[in-house]
Amino acid sequence: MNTTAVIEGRRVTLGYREGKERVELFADVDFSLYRGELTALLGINGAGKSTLLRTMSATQPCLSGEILLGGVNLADLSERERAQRIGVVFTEKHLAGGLRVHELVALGRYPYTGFFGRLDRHDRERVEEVMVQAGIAHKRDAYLSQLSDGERQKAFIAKALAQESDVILLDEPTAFLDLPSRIETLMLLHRLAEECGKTILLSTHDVEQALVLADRLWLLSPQYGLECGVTEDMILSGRLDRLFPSESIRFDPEHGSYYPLVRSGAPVRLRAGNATLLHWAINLLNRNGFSCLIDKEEATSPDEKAARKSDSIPAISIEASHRIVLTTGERHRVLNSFEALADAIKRLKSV
Amino acid sequence: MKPRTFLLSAAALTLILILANLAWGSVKIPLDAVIDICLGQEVEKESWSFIVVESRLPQALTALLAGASLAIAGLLLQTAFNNPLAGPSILGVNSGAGLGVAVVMLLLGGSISGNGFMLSGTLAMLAGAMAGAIVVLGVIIGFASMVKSNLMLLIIGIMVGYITSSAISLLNFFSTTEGVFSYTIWGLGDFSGISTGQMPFFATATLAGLFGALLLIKPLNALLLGERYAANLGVNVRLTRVGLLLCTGWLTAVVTAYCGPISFIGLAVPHIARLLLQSSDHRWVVPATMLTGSIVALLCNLLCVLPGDLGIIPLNAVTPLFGAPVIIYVIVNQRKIQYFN
Repeated sequence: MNTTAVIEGRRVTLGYREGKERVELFADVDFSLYRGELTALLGINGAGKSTLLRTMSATQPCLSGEILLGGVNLADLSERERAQRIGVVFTEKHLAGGLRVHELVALGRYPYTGFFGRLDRHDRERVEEVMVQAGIAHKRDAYLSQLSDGERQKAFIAKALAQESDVILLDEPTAFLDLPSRIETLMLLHRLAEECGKTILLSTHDVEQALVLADRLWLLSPQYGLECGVTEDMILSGRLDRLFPSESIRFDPEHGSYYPLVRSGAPVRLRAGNATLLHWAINLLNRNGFSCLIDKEEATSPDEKAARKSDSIPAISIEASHRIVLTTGERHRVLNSFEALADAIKRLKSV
Repeated sequence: MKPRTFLLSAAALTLILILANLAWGSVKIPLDAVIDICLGQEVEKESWSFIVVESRLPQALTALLAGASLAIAGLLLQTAFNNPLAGPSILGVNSGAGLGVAVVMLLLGGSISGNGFMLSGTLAMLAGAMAGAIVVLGVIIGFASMVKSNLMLLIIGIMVGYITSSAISLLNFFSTTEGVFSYTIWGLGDFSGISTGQMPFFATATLAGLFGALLLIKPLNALLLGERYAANLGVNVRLTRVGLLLCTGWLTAVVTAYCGPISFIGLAVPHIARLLLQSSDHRWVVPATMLTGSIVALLCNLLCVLPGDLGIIPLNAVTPLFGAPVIIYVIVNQRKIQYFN
């Protein structure tokens, strides 16, 4: 992989001016985007993701510092040059419902066309090509207002591709989409980075999919500012766990997802036939207020050893989802479904 | 409709309507005589030739240019404010220009004089109209940065219109009877106020504004996507905005100064053009809006002279009859109309 930075921020201070007041969001942040990589920008709403993207696309000036595009300061480029190097996809209200898909994509050729925006043969060929690349060619003559949200996102991505820019910045391209369209959109962006060598940065709340497909993560939080790194490094260094300020939201590094921390009290011993059964049994028990002591060959902590000795703790053994044995004291009960297990432990709790 | 078909048939219809405007009026002139006059040939009555050349031809040309100008002003405002229900009359630009004219006619007695220069008559009215239109546009832009909702901005525009109207009423109250009379006549709106002598200036002024609109076609298309996308595509948004507003202000002011505050053409015509073209691409919508504006204005002028000997119907009594139903249709059907969604 070529690791030259395509776009580079040096001591950039992000924020905006309100009248004479300077509102600083982040001071002196450094960042780089690399060719052929998909980078995901994560953070809570209001953390400044959109401000960062707008600053990088030069639709909003940074308060101090410089953003270099291939070594040249972004502010020194002409509008046309900038348009040929950075393409954007925003979620913005527009009047474009009356444009057909190919007309929208043709607007991506804006920085290349002449005074009246006439397309020459090369422009028209590019428009058709990028519609195929973005998987929207079958809707080329449809109006934007007739598209589904996912299709509209593809059309706007095709517009950005028509700009033939190295860099594509997207502000929450998966918001408002249903799950299949979210995954499809992210897969499309991943493919464009990998196969076409595009440098892509997108902000998103779809952490699970982003962790699978993004080469790098940019984490933006009020306490820690902007933290950048390769996805796996970021996960394994525990940075994702502190991305959200709430105590009750935890990151599960094993499964790459966030989960709500439920208050679990009474202990229960648990043994399961395989990892999947174990995972979902813990899920069920935690939700119902039990904390699980996982039975392994060897107990690891003195607490667990002590707990194991005590017979007052109920034990659950799961061989398959239809064969669950619940032991309380001397009594063994065989349950044939998770539904029955849920009922049984609820009754246990009320005792 | 195919864009080319639309433009060709609209151009043909415009020609037919010009001929109809020349033939129709309180004095009946046969169509073949009208055509002879247009071709510069002698006709049996000299008075016919005089009526057509000195009265009806300037009136038809005024309608042609004023219609195109107002319609384009409406289209530019709709794209500039990202709001299909914007227009010079609804945003108060018309009444701003009207107030400017009222100040000149009623307060200053029809002329503006400063150290060393003097504007009088129509030119003074034009200066007043331009100043009024630009001030109102400035106020609306100021509010647009504060009020994010398009609907609320329209209501502010209507309020600004009310304020200028009451300023005009107050001016009327304190001015002379003759002043009030001529202002009221002007306020009814008509296309017959421009003499053959004034035509070259009026034509140059409106054509310059229309030409300006043609220059804005490419950035207008990018602006359909909103300011941020436009800026990313390389549009100099600030410059384009200034161009759009100067163009709109100029066209509205020129037409208002000469023909009175004409409502609805600016608001309704861009919708007719977009609906018939089934497209938002300004490369077609701009010329189509110009032609449709001319057609509607010529048609309204024809209706005004319809009573023949009984007199002339005020223009502002006719334009809402066609314009308001178009807007109601558009609002009722907005779910089915592409550019609303």
